[in-house]
Amino acid sequence: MDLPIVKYSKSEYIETDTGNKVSRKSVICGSQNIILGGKTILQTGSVVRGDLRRTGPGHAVVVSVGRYCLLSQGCVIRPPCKTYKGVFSYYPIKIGDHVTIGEGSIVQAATIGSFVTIGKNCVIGRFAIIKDCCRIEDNTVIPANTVVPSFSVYKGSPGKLVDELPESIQEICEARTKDRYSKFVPSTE
Amino acid sequence: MLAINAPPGQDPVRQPFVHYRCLCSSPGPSSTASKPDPGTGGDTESTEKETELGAEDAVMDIDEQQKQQQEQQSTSNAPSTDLVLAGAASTGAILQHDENMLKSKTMADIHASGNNSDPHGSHSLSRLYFCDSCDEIRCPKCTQDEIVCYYCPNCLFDVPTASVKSEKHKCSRNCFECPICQNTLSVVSEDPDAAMFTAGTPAAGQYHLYCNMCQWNSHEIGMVFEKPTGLAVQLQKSEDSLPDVKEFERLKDHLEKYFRVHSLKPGLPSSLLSSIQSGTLQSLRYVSSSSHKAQQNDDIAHYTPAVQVMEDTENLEKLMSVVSLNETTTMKQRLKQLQSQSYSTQRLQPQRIHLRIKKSRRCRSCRHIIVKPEQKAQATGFKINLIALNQLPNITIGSIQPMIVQTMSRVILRFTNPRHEEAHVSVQYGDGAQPHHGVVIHSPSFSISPFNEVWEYEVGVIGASPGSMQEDVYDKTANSTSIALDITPAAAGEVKIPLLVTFTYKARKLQSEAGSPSLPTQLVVSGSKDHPPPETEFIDKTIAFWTVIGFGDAMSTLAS
Repeated sequence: MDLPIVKYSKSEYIETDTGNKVSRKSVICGSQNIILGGKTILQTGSVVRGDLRRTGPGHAVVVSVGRYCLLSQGCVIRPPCKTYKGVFSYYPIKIGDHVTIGEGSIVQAATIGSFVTIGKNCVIGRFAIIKDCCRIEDNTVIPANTVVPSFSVYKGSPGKLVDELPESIQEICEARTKDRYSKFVPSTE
Repeated sequence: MLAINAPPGQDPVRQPFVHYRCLCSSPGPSSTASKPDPGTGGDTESTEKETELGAEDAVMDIDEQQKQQQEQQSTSNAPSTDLVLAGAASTGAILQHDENMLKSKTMADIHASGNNSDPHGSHSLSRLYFCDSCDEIRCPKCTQDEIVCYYCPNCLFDVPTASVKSEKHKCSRNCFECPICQNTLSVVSEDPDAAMFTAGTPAAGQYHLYCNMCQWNSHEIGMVFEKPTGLAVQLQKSEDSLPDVKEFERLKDHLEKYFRVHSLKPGLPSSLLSSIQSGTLQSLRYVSSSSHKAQQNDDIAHYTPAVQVMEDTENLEKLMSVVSLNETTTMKQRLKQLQSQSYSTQRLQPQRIHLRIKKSRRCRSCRHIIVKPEQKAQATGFKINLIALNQLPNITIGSIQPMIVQTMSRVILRFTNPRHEEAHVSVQYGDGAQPHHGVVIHSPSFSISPFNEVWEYEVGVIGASPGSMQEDVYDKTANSTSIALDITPAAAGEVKIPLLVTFTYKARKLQSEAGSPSLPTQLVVSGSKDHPPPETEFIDKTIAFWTVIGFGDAMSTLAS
């Protein structure tokens, strides 16, 4: 099936110079520490915590999101934290290109590669590493410090390898995220 | 609502789909006589029967191939993950497919071969490959997997093929999985805060394994480490001293001398034994059958085990005295520890993580490589990747009206051309399907503009390519053309129709291809006047293939 055209009200979304579409109803903390790669959509109610950063002066990139990503309604992106040698600190989170994060998912990963699809209501634990070309099915829990290798499909709690993705996943994922962006248009009213 | 991924309307019971048929799984021309019944089991049965008949003709070839494949499998030693194991088990089926596929195919064969709406053996385009020397669609079953490298899915280190066997297909670094929940364990040092409360310094070990999921701790079984690296080596000693490991080594020594003296086949014994090590039941069966054959020549001396297995009654008594079920292991936990299979959770050991493999694919008929990933485990690129998505028109369902029996509903099919050359497509409805839905294809023959990267950067992607003639199609955009279909479902249930798609495109003529007799599709030297070929010579290539398109369930009456 082709993706349907999704219309949004022009007053709700802000479009940046690089084509990011950010909902005014999303919660963005510490925006000076967040980088969006371009053509990324942040939907209603998504939360990005750029304010949770390592203590110290100056700017630091806390959340970096690549191009053509989608942060769906109610998903939470927060940088991972841990106590190392008695000092509690937050660490940056990096998300690649063409990444989809489903509704209500909570992401505290260290790295999410490109061409990754995360389903609805998932929990990605602290310092998890999701490599390129992966799919996390709906309602999956990836525990802290877990590594998800490329071309795998993880499902369950704790998430287990259930399938492998075909070699064409990069092309499919790229086409889908581009198509999705081009069909996310303001309503003409 | 801004749900981007939500399907329009209510979730139907059966989702619409577009599947492409690979010729290797089609029952062959003769099967058109028996009209299959879609949606029932009888239909798949007939297909299988047909495949078997086809395979019988060349039993000798199959045997030879089977031998070759077994050799290949045993030398490369596949079962490093459960997934691979499952793949190896279906070898027989693959060979049957292979046999059918090797028959040379003419256009008439292609036309007759897939003329039914049975989705069995058809795949979505994303799972298919396209062999450019055979000019045919290849599915995962008619390509052959080869192992490129082994790697650990947790630390992502490459494991040299030479050491894979000695390390029992498991990671020999720091990667362990939890004996309780099979999640990966992390190495943690003794908590300094905890040490403050428990008076005195912690015992000899400074580090232990900890599960982030179920909070299992290797302290529970008294497992602590002095240093945080090379844990597998540190555990090696205790692992080797386990009675079952010792027993296995003894058995291996006992049998290996027989293998060496009466070598069934060079290289076979060691690989066989390592496949036993990986715990596959199938390989055990294989051993028994092969030793049975060997009995004709000589008998293997009786083997007396050094370790006596605990009687079942003792086990039973132990289990009877268990108060809480939490103290016993689950079936899954026991099966993960094949060698001990302990009932007590106290005796479960963390297991080293199984290695995974990277695979390349080869066409089974012309032996050309279809997929070749980069050698390094972490790289996701491909040196060769002949996926069908880049070569065949991608058919998607643009819009769909709910299907109602005996009522005409309109469906828009969108054909997208991935090629850099203009392509011509003609679509034909296959009449071999039951029930026979009424299908009217508007503009069954049309052209699609070539794919052009420049369009990707334009803001509005809409607009036909300049110079293309106007056709009577539903819609024509950058590199895709949409056509309309009117479908009148004949009966309630899932509506699936077979469509024969003939795809013609201009390809650069290669010297090697020009005289090749094995090409199954028509090659017509281009004599077209409207497209004068530049310096390179172009030829028209035609590829015909069957698709099965499902439109979801048809309702018997209009639901209000």
